[in-house]
Amino acid sequence: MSLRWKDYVEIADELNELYPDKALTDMPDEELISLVRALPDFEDESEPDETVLGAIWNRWVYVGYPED
Amino acid sequence: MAENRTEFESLGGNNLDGIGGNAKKITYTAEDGTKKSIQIDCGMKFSDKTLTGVDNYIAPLECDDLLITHCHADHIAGIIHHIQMNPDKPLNIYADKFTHQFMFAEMTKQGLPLDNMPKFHDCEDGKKFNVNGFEIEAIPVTHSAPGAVAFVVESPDGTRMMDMGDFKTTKATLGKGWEDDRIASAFKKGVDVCFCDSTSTTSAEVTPSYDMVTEGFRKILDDHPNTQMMVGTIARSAEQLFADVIAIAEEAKDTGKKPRTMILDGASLIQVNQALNKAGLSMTQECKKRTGIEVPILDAKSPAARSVPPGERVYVVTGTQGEEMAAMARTARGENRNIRPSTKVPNLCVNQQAVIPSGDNQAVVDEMMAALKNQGWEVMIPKRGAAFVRGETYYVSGHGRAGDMQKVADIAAANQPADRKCTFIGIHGDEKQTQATEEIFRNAGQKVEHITNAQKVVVSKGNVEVAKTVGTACRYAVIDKNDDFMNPDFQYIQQAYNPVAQKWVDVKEVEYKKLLVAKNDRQGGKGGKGGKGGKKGGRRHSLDMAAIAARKQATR
Repeated sequence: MSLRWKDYVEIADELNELYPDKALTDMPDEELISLVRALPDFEDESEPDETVLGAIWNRWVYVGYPED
Repeated sequence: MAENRTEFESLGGNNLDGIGGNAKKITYTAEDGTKKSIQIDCGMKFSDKTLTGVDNYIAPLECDDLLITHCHADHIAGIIHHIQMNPDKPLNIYADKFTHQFMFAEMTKQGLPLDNMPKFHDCEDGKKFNVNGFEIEAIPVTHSAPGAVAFVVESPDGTRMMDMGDFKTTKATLGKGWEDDRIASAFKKGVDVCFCDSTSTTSAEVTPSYDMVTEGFRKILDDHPNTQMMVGTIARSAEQLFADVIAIAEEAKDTGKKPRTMILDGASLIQVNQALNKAGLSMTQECKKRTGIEVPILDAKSPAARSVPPGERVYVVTGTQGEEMAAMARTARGENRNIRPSTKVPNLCVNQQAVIPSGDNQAVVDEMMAALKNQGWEVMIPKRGAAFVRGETYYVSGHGRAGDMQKVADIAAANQPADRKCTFIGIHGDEKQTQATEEIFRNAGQKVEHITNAQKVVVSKGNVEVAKTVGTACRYAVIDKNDDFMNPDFQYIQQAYNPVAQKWVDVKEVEYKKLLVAKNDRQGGKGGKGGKGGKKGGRRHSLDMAAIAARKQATR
């Protein structure tokens, strides 16, 4: 199944599997966008907005960092 | 035709058995009978699952327009469950920018689809806005959460009600916070009814400002040079965390050394830090503005954090109450790969939150602190209710005490128009706490009324009356059938309060389509790494509500 920007939960999971040790604080939007676009399942030509980028980032922190 | 009127109703938070589940509704009824409503807050109240079989209770959500005073769970945590129960209901949320950022982080963390996200509207300080016919003003107040506000709500008939939110009357460290003039200005224009947070009113004096925390934490730094530190905090109560940042900066300024580095370990701290940055409240920037010193704040996962010399590290972690999966407990078990006791410098753990007297918290925290001590950490934890001492106190509450209420009474007395005296009502507390609040205002010569949940305050042509009959209070029991907070399977049961029997009774189970995505849902399904489960160690409880009620009865 191909991923689109709005599939932020699945995107965050895939990013976390590929980059489990990535520090996410201060990650620039450009870096996040390029990591998403490089995902093998990702197929979406549209430009992401701030909301969807924030959603991906938040969910990635949640799945990628120890629970507290 | 009936007279037009404005009604306030406590939908939750004025409980017989403790604090939480805060929600209030304001309704305007026109002469022709048409009604307009807005709601303030929609919170959660914790429950002891071993007694009740219920994880927590949430207040009802009865309006499409919701004002949020601040980001604590007892004011916001009901919202996401109501969205899951009613995904097609439109919802507009009005709050401070940080509160929005925090709520968005919470909702996306739980996987709420973007199509179901509420519409967030930022309240701009000093700018009134109109919601469903009500004119609203958000006034900053000081609380442990940044971005806390009081709301003045002016109804179409001119009635003005003020919900103070959770507040204390000293200055905030981060963000705008309390200013006497702003509250005075609200009273000057006339406030018919003012609802006051009663959580800490049974304690004397004024709750100190976070400057006292800065002084206390500074003393700890002075007493522990070249020490690896681990500080336990509550992530969303970032005012206290920022007080620590200021202490680190002041130490650097006074000693001429480079500042220690704050290293955040854990998802919610990383998210709160990001929410502050997005809301224009970067702790690094704000500290630099105040002290001229830039305190580095790093992510424990970053290579830069690992290269900080141990004696300059101030790790910040959550888990002050011994939560099993939080960084402090994992460190105590030797399972935290980011934080280990240093063999080269002394180690100090400061748990910056007193034990909350609930369930087995005390025993769990004692065990955790003992385990840290065995690893070589010196440990410090504040005592609940201890006297405030400058240079020693390193934890203060965000709730105002009796002295703060007195201050509000004095401001009202000095500013309210002679022909429009305010009526004060204690909310956000149990009976003892709300009555203590009302006693202070009564003694100050102010008008006072008392309400319970589901009891209405009616204002018509300037006359304030409390309805003699109490309605039926409603709440929803939230049960995680998996008993696993990282992979919950929620069940919602609507409950109603029977005032004669003085107990809550089940009305119906609410059917819903699952929208939220648990942390392990997809990872498990894909056969991925999964991650460690979040089982809290509790047994899986029976969902037989009759049996639960019997257990409750037996424990009374």
